[in-house]
Amino acid sequence: MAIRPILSALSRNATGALLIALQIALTMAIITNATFILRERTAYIERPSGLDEENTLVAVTTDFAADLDSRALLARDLDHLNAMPGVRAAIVSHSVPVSGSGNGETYQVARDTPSNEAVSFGNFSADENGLEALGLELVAGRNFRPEEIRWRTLESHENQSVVLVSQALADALFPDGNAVGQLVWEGPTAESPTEIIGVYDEMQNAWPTSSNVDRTSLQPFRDLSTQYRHFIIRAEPGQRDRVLSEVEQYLGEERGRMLYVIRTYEEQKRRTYAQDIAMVRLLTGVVVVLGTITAFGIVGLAWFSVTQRRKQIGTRRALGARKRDVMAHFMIENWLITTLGLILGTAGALALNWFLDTEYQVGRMPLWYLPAGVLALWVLGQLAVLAPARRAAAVPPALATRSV
Amino acid sequence: MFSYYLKLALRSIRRNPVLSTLMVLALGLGIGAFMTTYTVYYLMSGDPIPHKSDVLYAVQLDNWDPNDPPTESQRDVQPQLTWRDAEYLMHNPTPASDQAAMYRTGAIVETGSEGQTPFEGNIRATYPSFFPMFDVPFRYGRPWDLAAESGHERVVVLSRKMNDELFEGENSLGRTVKFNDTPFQVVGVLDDWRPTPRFYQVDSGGTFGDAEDFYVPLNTAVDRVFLPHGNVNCWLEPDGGGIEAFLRSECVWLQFWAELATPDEAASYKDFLDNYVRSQKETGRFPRPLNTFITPVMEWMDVMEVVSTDNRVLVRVAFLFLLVCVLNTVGLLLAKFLGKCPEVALRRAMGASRRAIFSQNLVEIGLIGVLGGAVGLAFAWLGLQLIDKLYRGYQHLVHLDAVMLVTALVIAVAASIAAGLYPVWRVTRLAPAGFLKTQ
Amino acid sequence: MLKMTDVSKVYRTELIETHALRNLNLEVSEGEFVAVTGPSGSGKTTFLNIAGLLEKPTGGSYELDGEDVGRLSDDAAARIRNEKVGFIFQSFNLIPDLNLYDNVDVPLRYRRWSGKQRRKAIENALELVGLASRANYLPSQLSGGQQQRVAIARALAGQPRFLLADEPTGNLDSLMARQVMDMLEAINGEGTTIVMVTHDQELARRAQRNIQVLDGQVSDLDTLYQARVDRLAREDSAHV
Repeated sequence: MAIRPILSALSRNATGALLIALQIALTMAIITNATFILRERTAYIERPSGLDEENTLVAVTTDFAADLDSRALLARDLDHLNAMPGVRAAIVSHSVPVSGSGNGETYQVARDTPSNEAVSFGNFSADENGLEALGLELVAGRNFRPEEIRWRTLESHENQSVVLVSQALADALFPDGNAVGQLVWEGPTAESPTEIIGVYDEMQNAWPTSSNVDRTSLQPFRDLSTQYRHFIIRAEPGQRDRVLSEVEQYLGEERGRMLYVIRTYEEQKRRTYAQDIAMVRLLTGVVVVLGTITAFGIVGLAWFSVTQRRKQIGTRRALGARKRDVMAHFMIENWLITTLGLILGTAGALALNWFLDTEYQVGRMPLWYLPAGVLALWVLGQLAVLAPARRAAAVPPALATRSV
Repeated sequence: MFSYYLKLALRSIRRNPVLSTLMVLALGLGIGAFMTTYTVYYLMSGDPIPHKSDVLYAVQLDNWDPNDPPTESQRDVQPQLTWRDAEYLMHNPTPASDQAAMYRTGAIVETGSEGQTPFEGNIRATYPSFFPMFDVPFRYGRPWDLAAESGHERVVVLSRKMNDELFEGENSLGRTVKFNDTPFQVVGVLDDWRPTPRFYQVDSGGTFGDAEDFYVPLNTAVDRVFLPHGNVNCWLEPDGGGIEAFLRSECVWLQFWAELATPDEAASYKDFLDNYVRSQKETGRFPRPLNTFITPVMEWMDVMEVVSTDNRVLVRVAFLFLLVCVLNTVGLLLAKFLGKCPEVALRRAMGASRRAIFSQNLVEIGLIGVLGGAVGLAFAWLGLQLIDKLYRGYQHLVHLDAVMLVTALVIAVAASIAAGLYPVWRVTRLAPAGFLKTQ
Repeated sequence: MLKMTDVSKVYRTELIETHALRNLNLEVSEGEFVAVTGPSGSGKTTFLNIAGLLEKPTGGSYELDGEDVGRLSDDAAARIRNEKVGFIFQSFNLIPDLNLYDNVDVPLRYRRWSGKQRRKAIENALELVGLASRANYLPSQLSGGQQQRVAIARALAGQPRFLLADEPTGNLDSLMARQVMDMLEAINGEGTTIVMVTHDQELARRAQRNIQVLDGQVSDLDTLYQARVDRLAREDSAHV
C-alpha cells in the first residue's frame, strides 16, 4: 500500500487531520503525566507500614468520668484483650503508626551534640508485647522485660532508661552499626542517657509525608498523661473481624470511658491516605475518560470521512481495490495522523512534566513512559478506526456507477 | 430570525444524533471535570471573612532553636506562639484594636439528660474578643465577659448546630453542658457561622470543615487541662512534668490573631512586637535573629498553603482535559460543517448573506455550547459528589453556587464558540457556486 | 433585462490559467425564454454562475434589470439573488430534512417579510405547482418530478423577475421532464424571464431563442451580428 495517495488525500483536509493530531498530542501529554503521578502515588500509599496490616485493628478510647481509676482500668483492659481468644497480642500506645497524628522526639549520641545534629524520629509507647502486636521482628538485641514498663502521667518527667529502635533509626544514629548497647540522649537537658537494647526491622512513624518515615522507636511505658488510649490489637489470621466486634463490645461497656474509634488498620491507613487515594482515583478517571474521548473523536471523524468519501471508495473498489486495501487505507491514514500527534505529544509530555515538576514538585517522569504512551495511543487509534474502516470496506463497488 | 436559526440548529443537531451527542458529551465531560476541580479550588481559595480579611493579622514570633538553619521565608517560622508570649500580649496594652489567643481542644460532652449518649465535642478555647473580632453572629446571649475570663469561669458558647442537637434549638442560656464530667454554663448560642476555610487554625485536618461546636474561656480550658488537639511543637523539652512546666516551656501551640484597623496601627503593632522580642532577648529567650511577622488573612492562607498542591495539579490537568474536549469538538464540528456545504451553498444562492450564514451557524454552536454546559453542570455535580465521597472534610467545598453556575455556562458557551468559530468561518467563506451541481 | 458585454472569466491556479469565458456578449429582453446549450466544458456552468451572481466576472460588464451587477459586494449580490433571481437546479437541491413548506420558505427567510406575507407566498407557490396538499411532506417522500416542482415553487415564491434553470429536467424521465417544461412555459407566459442551460437540443427548441456557448463564447448569430453593428456604430461616432 503506497503512502503517497494517503498523504495527498490527507493534505486536502489538512486542518481536520491536524486537529486530531493536536488532540492526540495533548492526550499523550496528559495521559503519560497523569499515569506517572498516579503510579508514584500508588507506590507511596503501598509502602509497608511494618505492621501486620491485614490482621490488625485500632481502637481509641477516652476516659472522661471524674471518678474513673484510669490506671486500674487500663491494666484490666490489657489483660482482658491479651487473653481474648483470637487475639495474638494487644498493646496500648500513645499514637498509631501512619495515623497522621503522633509524637516526635530527637536523640543525640552525646549530651552536648548540637541540636541541629540530633536525629528526629517518631516514638511509640509499648510494652513487652509491642513487637508481637506490631508485627515487628527483632534483628538485634532483646525485647523489653515486663519490669521495665512504666506508667507515664502528666506529672512524670523522667527519661526512658531503655529503648528499642528501628533499623533505620539505628543506622542514622550509629552509621557504623553496633547500635545495641549504645547510649543516646534526649537532649542537652536530659538527666540521664537511654540505652538502646534492641533493633527491630521496620516500622513507619505517624506521618507518611515525613522525610524519614522509617525512623521510629518503641519506648517502654503506658501513657496516662492524656485521656486518650490508642489500642493496637493484632488478631490471629482470619480472626480480625470477629475480634473487632468483640473488642467493640468490651471497650464500649465501661461507663465513664468512651469508645471513640474502632476500625481495622487497613481502614485507618485508607483514612490517612484519603487525599492520595482520591488523587489516584481522579487521575485514573482522567486517563480513562480522556482515552475514551479521544477514541470517540477518532471514530467520529473517521466515520464522517468515510461517509464523505463513499463515492470515491466505491470507485476505488470498482477499479479493483480489495476490501483489505480500503481498510488499510483508513488504518494507515489514522496511523500517520496519530504518529504526527505522538511526535508532538512526546514533546508535550516532557514539557508538561517539566512544568508540573517545577511548579508542584511532582518529580521527573522516567523516559520509558514516552514509548509506553506512544504504544498505547497507537493501539488506541488503530482500535478506534477499526469500525469506520470496516464500514468503508463495506462500500459496494456498484456505488461508482450510481449518479447520486 | 433568531427563532428560525434556533429551529434550524435543533434540526441540524437532530440530523446527526451520534455526532451531536458525541460533541455535547465531550464538551460536557471537559466542562464537568474542569468545573469540579475549579469549584473545589475556588472554594478552597475563597476569602473566609471578606469584609475584614485585610485588617485581621496572624502573629508570628520566632522563638526557635538557634541551631536551626537561618530563616529564609516566613514559612520557616513557627505559625503558633508559646503560652508565655500569648499571655503577655493578651494582658498588656498593645496598639491593636483587638486580639485573641486560641487553641483547639476536645472533651467528652454530656448534657445529663436521659438517653443522651456521650460524644467527643470539638472545643475552641479562646478569649471573648474572638467573637467581635471575627464577626461571629449570636443567636442567643453574648460572649462571656472579661470577668468570666479572668475568673476562669466555667462558661460555654454553643454553635447553632450544637444547640439544635442538644437543646432542640431552644434558648439554652443558663443550661449546663458537662465536659469530662465538669459542668459548664451556656452563656451564648451562635447563629450560623462557617468561615471557609477555617482560617484561624489551618494546621491540620478540618480546615474546610465546620467551625467548632463549643467555645470556652482559654484560662478555664487550661485550668481543666484540656490539652491542645492541634500541633504542639517544642525545640526544648519542658523542664519538668505537669501542666505548669508545659506552660513555662518554649513549646508553641496557640494561634494568635490581632485586628489592626489601619496601616499605621499595623506598623506600630509590628514595632511593639519587635520591642517585646528585644526585651525578651535580654532574658536569654529568642536566641534567633529578630523575625516577627504579622500577616493578613489571605496572605496567611497562602503562607499556610491552604490550597493543596494536589488540587492545583488537578485544576491544571482538568484545564488541559477541557482543551482536549474543545479540540475534539472543533474536529467534529469541522467534519459536520463540511457536510453542510451543499445546504450553505444553496442558502447563499437563495440570497443569504455571509452574515446570515454566520449567525445561523453561530446559533447552532451556541446551542451545542448551552447543551454542553448543561451536561457539564450535571457532570460537575456528579464530580463534586465523587469528591465528597473521596475526600474527608470537603463537604463545604462541593456545592455549586450561583457564581459557579454562571461560570460553567459562560465557559461552556465560550468553549463551544471557540471550538465552532473556525468551522463556521470555513463554511461562511464558502463560494456558493461550487456545491450546486450534481455531486 | 440581462445584458452581458465582453464578459470573461479566468480561473487561475498556481500552474495554469483557464479561460472559461472569453468576451461573452449576450442580451436577454424582458419576458424572453432563452435556452443556452453547448457541449461539456464549453462554459455553460460558468455563464450560469455569473448570470446568477454566484460568481463575479473577471472582465466585462453585466447589467441585470438595468443595474450594473458585475462588481457588487458579496452582501449586495446576495440581496439581488434573493430578490430578483430564482434558481432551479438539475439535482433539485432541496434540503432533505426540511418539509416542502420549509424548503420553499428558505429564500423568503432572507427577505424582511412578515410571517403572514411569507405564509401567503409559500401557499401560493405550492398551489401553483400543485403540491399544496403535501406541504408537510419531506422531499424524500416525493418523486423526482414532484421534487423539481417544489424547487420551482421555491424559485417562484419570492416572485423573481428572472429565473435561471440549470438542466432542470436532467434527472427526470421524459414524462416528468415534459411536465416541468410545460410549467416553465406557463411561468414564462406570466411574464417571468427564463434562462435555461441545457445540453438537450430537443428541449432547447421549445425556447423562444437558442444560444450556443462554444469555447466560452456565444455563437448566436443574431447576437454576434448585433455586437458587430454596435461596435461599428461606436467606431463611427469616434470618427465624428
